[in-house]
Amino acid sequence: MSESVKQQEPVAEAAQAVPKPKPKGYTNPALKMMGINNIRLPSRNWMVFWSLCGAIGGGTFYNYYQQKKVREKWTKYVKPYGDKSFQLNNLPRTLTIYVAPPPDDYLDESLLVFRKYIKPILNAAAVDFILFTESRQGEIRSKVAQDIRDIRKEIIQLENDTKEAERIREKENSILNKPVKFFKWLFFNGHKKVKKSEEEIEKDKREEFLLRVKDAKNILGLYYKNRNELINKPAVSEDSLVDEYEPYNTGGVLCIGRGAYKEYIIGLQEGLLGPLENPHAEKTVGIEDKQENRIEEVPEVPEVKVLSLDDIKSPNNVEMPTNISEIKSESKNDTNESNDINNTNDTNDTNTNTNTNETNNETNNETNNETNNNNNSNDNEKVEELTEKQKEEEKKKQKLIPYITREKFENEGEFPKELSKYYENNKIKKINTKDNIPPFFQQPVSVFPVYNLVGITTFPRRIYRYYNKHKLMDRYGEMTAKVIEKRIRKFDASVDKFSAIDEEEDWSKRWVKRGIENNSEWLQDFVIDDRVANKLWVYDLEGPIQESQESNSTIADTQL
Amino acid sequence: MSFLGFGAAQPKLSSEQKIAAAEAELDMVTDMFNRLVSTCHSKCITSSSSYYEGDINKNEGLCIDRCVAKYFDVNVKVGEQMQKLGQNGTFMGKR
Repeated sequence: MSESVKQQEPVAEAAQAVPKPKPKGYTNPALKMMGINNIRLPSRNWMVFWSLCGAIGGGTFYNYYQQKKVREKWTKYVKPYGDKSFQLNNLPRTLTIYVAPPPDDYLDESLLVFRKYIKPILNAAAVDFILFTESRQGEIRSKVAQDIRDIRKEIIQLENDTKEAERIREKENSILNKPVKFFKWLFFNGHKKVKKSEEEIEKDKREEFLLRVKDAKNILGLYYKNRNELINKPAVSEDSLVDEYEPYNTGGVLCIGRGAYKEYIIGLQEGLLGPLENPHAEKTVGIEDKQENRIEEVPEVPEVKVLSLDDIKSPNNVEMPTNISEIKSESKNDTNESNDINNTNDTNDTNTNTNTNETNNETNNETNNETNNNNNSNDNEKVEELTEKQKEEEKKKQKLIPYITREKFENEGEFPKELSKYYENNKIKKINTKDNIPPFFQQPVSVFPVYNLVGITTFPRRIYRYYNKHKLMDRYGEMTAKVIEKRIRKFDASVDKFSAIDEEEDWSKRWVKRGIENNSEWLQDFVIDDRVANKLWVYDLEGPIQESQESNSTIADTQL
Repeated sequence: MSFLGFGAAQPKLSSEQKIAAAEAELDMVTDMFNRLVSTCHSKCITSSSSYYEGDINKNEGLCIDRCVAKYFDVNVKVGEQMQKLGQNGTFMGKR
């Protein structure tokens, strides 16, 4: 640029000296008659301006046009799945989706990937989904682990219930019980043999009729004729109809972002290999049990938000990775504090103290000037808010403490007895739950990378990506189609450790440095225990999709 | 408040008023149901397939499920909010 400016300087001077005549351009008597004098090219500056505008605008337009085409292509590809006929009492296949925010950015970025590239295709294939999001690291992990523990508890409960029922049935069927039953029958039904008078019969009939009329569904309306179809059919999920020895052939888990995937795998191991009850709770709460603080301290399921179908748009703050060692030290402090409280036999905790302060202030307020009092109470409120916030923060941190850490999976982890009978003889059997759907940890997993660059230095690459979004979209579309087609294979640690690893190139170096300092879960080694790995299935997202065109039609043909 | 029959008695509803209230309630429910049916029908069925097939397909089924669930949800939420406003005696921040 600077050279050209230098060259032009003498020319500009010359132009000043002798005013340069404007180029005449093209002209024509016919055009002149219409009021158009000269047609000529605009000046150099205008040309630069328009061509730049055209390039940027055209590129954008082309990109969006291509995106639209790509979306249409994949929605059309999966449409046969959505066009299958559907019974009224059926529920469609449901995916479980975990979304983690990209490093140093908002959750919105990851949600955008889902909303723009994945959701339209899922909708076209009529696949339902449940969305879990996190706003800080570890939430997905603890949510997954807690869900697994809940399922394990449910399984134990179910087993106990069936055992109980069997025992009762055996008792009833035993020979000793039969005479008792006969006498009972005589006792309850013996009096009925007395003949009824006509009046009584009529009365009975009337009552029966009134009972029938009471519910309008019995005599008129939509339900009258379609009773069997509408009322007596319970809702059946498509996922529950899967073959008993192929529970991995339905549902599915999608992790949006490599971090979400890492957390999911660790959470899986924590839930399966870890203890059912919180070991930390016993230590910290054990002393406090006698007091009434127990409810507050027991770590519960972290608040992982479940988004509705059209995702919430509010940006959630991405917080720095929580420091595990820090949390531990804090929990230790808590125990110390509780000990102190015990020693002094002081039943007041901080909360009640602040309350009494407030009441004191209020009594003062009545006697003092109004303005002063308002300030006082405001300050007090602020202090209280702060302490409450801090308390909430600590509670949240407490909830994220794992029941079993990743170093202990191999030695201390134990595959639960209640589950091991479903995994005998190298076969995977569907785990019985209440809704009959195989639990999510039996369903296959897949990862969708979130490519997200942060910072000013990455700007050229970001511009390049902006104009090539349709290519990325094509890739996402293909991956989603494979998920919908259920292209699955067994988990292979040597390959699946590295799925979506190219996303890590986008993680900013500063963030990585900070993360390593803070013991971030995302930056630790990818650990997977063999006991969990050999029961896990994944979606095969590599390889071309066109091969499966034939199998696609076969899957589409098989009805529910 | 009335104490042993003294004080201002609460206005008692006559049976006619009760019937009118019940009718209004029924009207409301019926109206909501009709709106729901027509909205979800136009959203999920008429727009996508225009009846080239007798049975509903999966897409329509899922759409209807979501539509009805959402409609009820929003209806309940709006109702609760209105009730709250009614109790406060405020509407759009005005008294």
